[in-house]
Amino acid sequence: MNKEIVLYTEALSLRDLGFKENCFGFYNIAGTFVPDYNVTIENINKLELKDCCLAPTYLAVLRWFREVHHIDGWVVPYHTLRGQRYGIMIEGDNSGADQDSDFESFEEAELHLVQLLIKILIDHNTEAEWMSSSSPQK
Amino acid sequence: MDEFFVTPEIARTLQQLGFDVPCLRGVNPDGLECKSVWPIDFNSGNGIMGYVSVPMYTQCINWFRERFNILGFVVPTYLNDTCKYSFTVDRVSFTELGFDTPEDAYQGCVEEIIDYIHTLYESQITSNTRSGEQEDNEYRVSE
Repeated sequence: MNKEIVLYTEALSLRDLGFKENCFGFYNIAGTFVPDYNVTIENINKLELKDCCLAPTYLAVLRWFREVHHIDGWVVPYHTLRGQRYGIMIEGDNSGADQDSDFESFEEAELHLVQLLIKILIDHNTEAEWMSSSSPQK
Repeated sequence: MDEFFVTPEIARTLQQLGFDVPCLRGVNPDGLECKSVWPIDFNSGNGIMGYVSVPMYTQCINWFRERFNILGFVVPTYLNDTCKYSFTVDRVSFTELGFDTPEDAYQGCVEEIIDYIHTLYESQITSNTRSGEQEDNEYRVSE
């Protein structure tokens, strides 16, 4: 079932962005996926290990972006003369980051989608921090 | 997280289709749900007959794509301020609209693909007997 789980690098980024949903496993300090039927953020925090994090499914990550951050992303298959290809679409972000996406496999598109959503959220957070730090102090 | 998993009825049909991907959930012979800390192919029996694997919807969708070359996918549709979900089964150009959640759309998608496979491989159903105890119907898919 590893195909359904986001990669370690993305899982760490999601942790840093505040992802705390229950998962079907976690990544240990070696970055190895350890499955379990229900892992909570409390379970992970108890371990007190810096590089340990929740290992969410792609579906759970997309739901988190949609429900918590109001950014909806998904993979769209389409046919071309070269055969089946996959694109990505993002609703709730006007940066046009999803344009010109073209992937050979569903897995490749799904990974790129999550990476893009993470980047969008980091950019949003950075922008929000900059706005708050540059606003006049009372 | 129950919403990520197929219903026991769908799980039993998947078993008949030969679903063999290890899962975190299963159903025991008494129909009770069982969970595992490690993915198990409950359908293989593992020495205990009568168990059924209960996969996540995305595991099914991936398995259909890899095993049968049937592509099912779910996309949102935004209209004014409302969002509904639809699914499409690529091979049969079938689309159904109007689901409230992606999980509902995934369920519809998996059911539609199962119906399609039944139609496609109806003539290929063969009865197998496993270990002389349990009789399964499996689909033999030509590569």
